[in-house]
Amino acid sequence: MDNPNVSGQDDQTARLVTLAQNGDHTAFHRLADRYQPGIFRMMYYRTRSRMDAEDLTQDVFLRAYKQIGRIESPALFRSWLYRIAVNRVKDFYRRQRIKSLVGWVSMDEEGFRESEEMVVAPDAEERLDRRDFWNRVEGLLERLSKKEREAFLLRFFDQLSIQEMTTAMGKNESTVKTHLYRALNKIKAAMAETPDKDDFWESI
Amino acid sequence: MNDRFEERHLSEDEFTQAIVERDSLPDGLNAHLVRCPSCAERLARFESRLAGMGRMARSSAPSPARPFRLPQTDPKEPLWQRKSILAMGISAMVLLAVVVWRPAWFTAPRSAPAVAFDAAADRRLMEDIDAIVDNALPEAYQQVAFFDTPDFSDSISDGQDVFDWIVPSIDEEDDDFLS
Ligand SMILES: [Zn+2]
Repeated sequence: MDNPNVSGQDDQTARLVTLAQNGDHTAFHRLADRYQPGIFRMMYYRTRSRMDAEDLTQDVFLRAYKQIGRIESPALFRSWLYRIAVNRVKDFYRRQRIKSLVGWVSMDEEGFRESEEMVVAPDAEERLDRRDFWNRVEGLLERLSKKEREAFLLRFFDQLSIQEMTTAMGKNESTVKTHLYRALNKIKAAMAETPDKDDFWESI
Repeated sequence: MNDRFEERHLSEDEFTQAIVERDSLPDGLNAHLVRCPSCAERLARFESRLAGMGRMARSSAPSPARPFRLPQTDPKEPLWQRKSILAMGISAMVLLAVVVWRPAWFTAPRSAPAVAFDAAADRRLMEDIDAIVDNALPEAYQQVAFFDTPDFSDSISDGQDVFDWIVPSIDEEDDDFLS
């Protein structure tokens, strides 16, 4: 988060956005190269599925390209991109809920996630560690409301600043801080409730 | 007030507040954090756990399989520009269709011609009535009745006025007497 080169990157991003707004495909591809890994990870954190993360990321950039003419402040491109991504995740879960209601989701979720982790970490021990990590993260996140979870993930997993979060979440600064504050209090309480001998969270 | 903050350790809520936004803490608490190793360590430990969580998440996430590339759609303008051009084209065609063919649903409301027709018929009827009031005889008889008959209506009226001026009527004189 404390990147001394952020301002220079912002300037470059703003230039690329302006070029892309004028129909420069190469400029847009350069923007995608810069932000795709972050958006992809964001999607993976929320879906825990590589395939879904790929599809959603593709969709985010296509939408970004279609709507790039609407950006009035090119410097806000990154947070604007995260806003599209946050909305796509919401749509994704809405569809998942509908599918599960009508019984279209036939894939065993746990088995599916396990196979995903094999792709990420082929080594058995590492795979177990990662699985343990994600299980613990899920255990913490399920105590939070949707907004609190989104605020927590954007801040500590996606590493957005509070300012960027206001754009990404479409909320004012005070609301964003309140969600974050509540999320942190719950996370802290949850960590205190289940103290490990070797303190898992200290060791990572 | 700041001195009071400097004298005590941070509460749990104040720790959370410090993580959300360190600058939002009162100056006294910030000063306490600088001077108190216990509070500083507690804060650093929680911050480190959160940072570790983010780090672990990043390292355990895969990378995208391939870089994003726009679908090959040829035109130089971006999609949003081409879409607006398409929308303008369609609008122009619809407008042209309306102007050239004037579809039934677009022209004046259905009741309008009927109203116009009724007004014309009414006008004709009233003219006929006026004609009958002025002259009840059918046209064929009118020719006979008015044959060689000069119209005195105006001259009769004018003559009566002159006559009345020269020889006032008796009634008018009586009225004067009475008054
Ligand atoms: Zn202290």
